[in-house]
Amino acid sequence: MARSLLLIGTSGTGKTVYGGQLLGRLQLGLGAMSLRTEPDTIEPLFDAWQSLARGRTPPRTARGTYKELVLPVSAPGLGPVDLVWPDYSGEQISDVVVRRHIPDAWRERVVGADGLLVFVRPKLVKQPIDIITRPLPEIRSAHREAEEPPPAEVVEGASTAWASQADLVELLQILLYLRSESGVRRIANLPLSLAISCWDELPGSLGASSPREVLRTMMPLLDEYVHATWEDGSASVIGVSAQGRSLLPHGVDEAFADEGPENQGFVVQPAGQRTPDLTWPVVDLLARAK
Amino acid sequence: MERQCTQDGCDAPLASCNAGFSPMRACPHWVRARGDHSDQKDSDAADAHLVPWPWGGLGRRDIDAIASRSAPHLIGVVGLPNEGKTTLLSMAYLHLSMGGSLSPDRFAGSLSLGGWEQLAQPLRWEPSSPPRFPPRTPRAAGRFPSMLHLGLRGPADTLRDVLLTDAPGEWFARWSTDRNAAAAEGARWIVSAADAFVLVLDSEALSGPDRHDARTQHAAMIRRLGAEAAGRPVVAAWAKAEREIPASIRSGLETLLAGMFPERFVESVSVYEQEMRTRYLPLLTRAFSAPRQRAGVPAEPVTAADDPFLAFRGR
Repeated sequence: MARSLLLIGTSGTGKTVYGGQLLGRLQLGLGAMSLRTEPDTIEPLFDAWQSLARGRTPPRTARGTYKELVLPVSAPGLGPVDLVWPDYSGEQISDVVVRRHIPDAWRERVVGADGLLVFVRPKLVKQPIDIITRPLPEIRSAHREAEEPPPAEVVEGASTAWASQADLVELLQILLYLRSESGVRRIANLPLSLAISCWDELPGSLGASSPREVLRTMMPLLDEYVHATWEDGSASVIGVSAQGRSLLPHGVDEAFADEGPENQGFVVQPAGQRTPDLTWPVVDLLARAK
Repeated sequence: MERQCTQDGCDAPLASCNAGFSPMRACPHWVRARGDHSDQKDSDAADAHLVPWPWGGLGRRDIDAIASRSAPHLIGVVGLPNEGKTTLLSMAYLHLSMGGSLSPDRFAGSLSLGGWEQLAQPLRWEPSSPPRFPPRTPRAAGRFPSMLHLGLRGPADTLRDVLLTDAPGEWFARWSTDRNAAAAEGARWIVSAADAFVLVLDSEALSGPDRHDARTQHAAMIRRLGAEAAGRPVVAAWAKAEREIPASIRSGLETLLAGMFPERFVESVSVYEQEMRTRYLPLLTRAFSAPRQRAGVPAEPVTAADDPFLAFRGR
């Protein structure tokens, strides 16, 4: 039977890299999930896999692109599934929140989804520093001196990227609205996996924490929203590092290519155990979507 | 360039369709507007489903959707101009977004996240600008304030909706001295509809050079709210509490508060003092956790019959 995963992530969250690695694992038979038969086409993700095999970061999916790949897969305990895997540019997700309207095609995907896999890359989420976390006596003078603000201070680590916790909560609220979920009851029929992507980028001790602890520490509003909105067991937080490490920003990362992308990357399961099986998030989500 | 709807006052497709259509192609005004020079963007927008709530504070039209799923708990945030009502809301949201607790409830979403973010933005450090106090809520005529929403998941998994008003202080200043003034219409609506109140008192004004005027203005506001709250819960906040109010002024107002609101809860808050910075959110939580005690009949001229919001809440 066909199952559709709604893969949600803004631009740069690693959807395409993960998709390329997932295809690589399936092609080489390295994971709990395997191909039953050869897919008619693997093109949307083949380029990404090939880029990684060459030691290059896959190019971002072009704006406006939306392609679907049907992967005939099976996994222990799951049975045969035709997995519909989307490949698209993340701007389409940003547009939903910013422009406040949802194209019919996206609405149909949301309504037809069996599970929700959301990629959140902490590095791209604004970690605002405010006067609760960083109180300042200067605010007094800033207030008194009216129009002319004091010279700006550059805050290390502050990002001007699109996403904030509030944007991500808003996005999930919009998706649930499209599925006619009023919010009165907690969600049980649309399992959610919230994947902290590019896990290898996490600073210091956070990388040794469980994914839920990372979410709670870095995005507490999103964490509370998800767990107050989905039924216990219907939402899980995982970590994904599709490449295992960053590639050299320019040119070819020969060491990565020599080792092979299939030998790199890992998933952090909800309780904190690591597995190199990059098919695990999909198997877990599909199992919960039964 | 995207086409606008021809209907006066309708901001579609940037805001939801005034006539309530989604997709917009069903709206006769939209069809008329795109009758000529149709382009791809128009088609995209017309085929789109609109998000039926704004990225901002909620207006009158937006709260019907909330009222249709639960009887929202309305908190009237009352105070004179420039007293810190907006800062109070902003600080509470900042605390919530940094992991502050709504205990015993949990944050279950908000249909005014954009509004909360806009309030909180000035208090954040950005590379290009240091924190500043939120701008004053614009003085505006009218009956309905901007409202901020919180969805709360209770311990028994029930969902509650809370709406907090963000109204200009001028409404309450006028209402304090002339309850029936035309310019106090918005204040009258808030006071008639609210389930509970947060009363903001301005320590800066009460300790500054105009403190004697501030004392009489505060006294008038406390008395007016005392007369109209009719037993509904009142949480009072001494805002800007880093300022020390002269003892005689403070004790006079405390006595008045005690007389008007025997069951009141009073807290001091300040953005400058470490300990007081994290009291804003518990203060709000206290207001919407108080047992619901609706006033018997809303004071005229607002009645359930002519106010769909009150009619919903009367279910």
